[in-house]
Amino acid sequence: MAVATKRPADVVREQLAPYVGAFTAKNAVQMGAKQIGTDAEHLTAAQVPSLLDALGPMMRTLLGKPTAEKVAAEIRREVGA
Amino acid sequence: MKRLVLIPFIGGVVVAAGMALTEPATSRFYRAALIAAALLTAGSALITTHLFAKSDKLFAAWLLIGSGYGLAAIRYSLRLVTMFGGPELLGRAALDTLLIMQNLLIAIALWLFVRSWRATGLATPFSGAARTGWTLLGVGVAVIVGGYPLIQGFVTAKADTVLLVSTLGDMVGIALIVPLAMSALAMRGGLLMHTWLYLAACEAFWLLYDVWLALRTTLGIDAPLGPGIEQVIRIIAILFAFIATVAQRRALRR
Repeated sequence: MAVATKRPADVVREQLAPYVGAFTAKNAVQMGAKQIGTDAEHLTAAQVPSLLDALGPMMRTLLGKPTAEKVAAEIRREVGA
Repeated sequence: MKRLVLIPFIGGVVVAAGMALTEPATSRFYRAALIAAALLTAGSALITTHLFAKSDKLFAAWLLIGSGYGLAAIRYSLRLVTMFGGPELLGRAALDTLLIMQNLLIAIALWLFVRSWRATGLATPFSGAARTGWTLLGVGVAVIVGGYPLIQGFVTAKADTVLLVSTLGDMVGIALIVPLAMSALAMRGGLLMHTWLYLAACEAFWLLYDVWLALRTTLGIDAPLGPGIEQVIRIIAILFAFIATVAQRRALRR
């Protein structure tokens, strides 16, 4: 039986949503994906570090550096990037 | 997190009990309550800065909120000393400077919150026209509410730098209610929403305070009700700033 795995964009959204809500999390992933020349639905695990770099200023502004780094590390771990 | 919102109103109910006292106990009680609320808020805001790196935008915002309410606590304490028959430890000029600094620090802090949201480049769940309309409405209310005491001050020849700066501080705070609330709405469902919402509520209660001051004079509502309601609104406003600091810590420590 095939195991359904989460798409990288969903992982990022799910990690951000508890802090900034689903609307802003979705918005942020779309914005970050666009910045790195892709769209959220086609984001690959390999592109996640670039996406996190793009989202870095936003995450750091809203969450502060320590929490932003913790969330980014959790996203990297979950997508295996 | 939602239960935090009870704190300002519980504080308001406690302060309302002051209306049952007689002078000078009433004034002393109100003043002591203000000092406690301002100290609590200042301390909590300064603790919140530890969740941010010094280069983070919100580090400065919380530091300014903590410093602003810290100055308020000092000013209220000096007034309490004189209420107990103590000496005037600072002259009028120094007290006015404290008031001006307090207003400036808090207005700048709130502006930093709004600017931080804008710096993220994230959208709010409103069209550009709706956003502009609501923002202009907020600025309009600020001009009306802030303009009234300012004009009154000039008309009665009482206008001075202190009145000008504190009124401008109020106007900036009131004008920022809408941008703060919009950021909160964009984050609906997220823990950080509470911080921004409570800051907006804090400013909304300062707006109510200004409106009440104007109404109280116009309607001739005397003691104990007039000053009592005034102090209740003040405490609620300060305690909304306090719960914003708590909400920020809870969100980032989840």
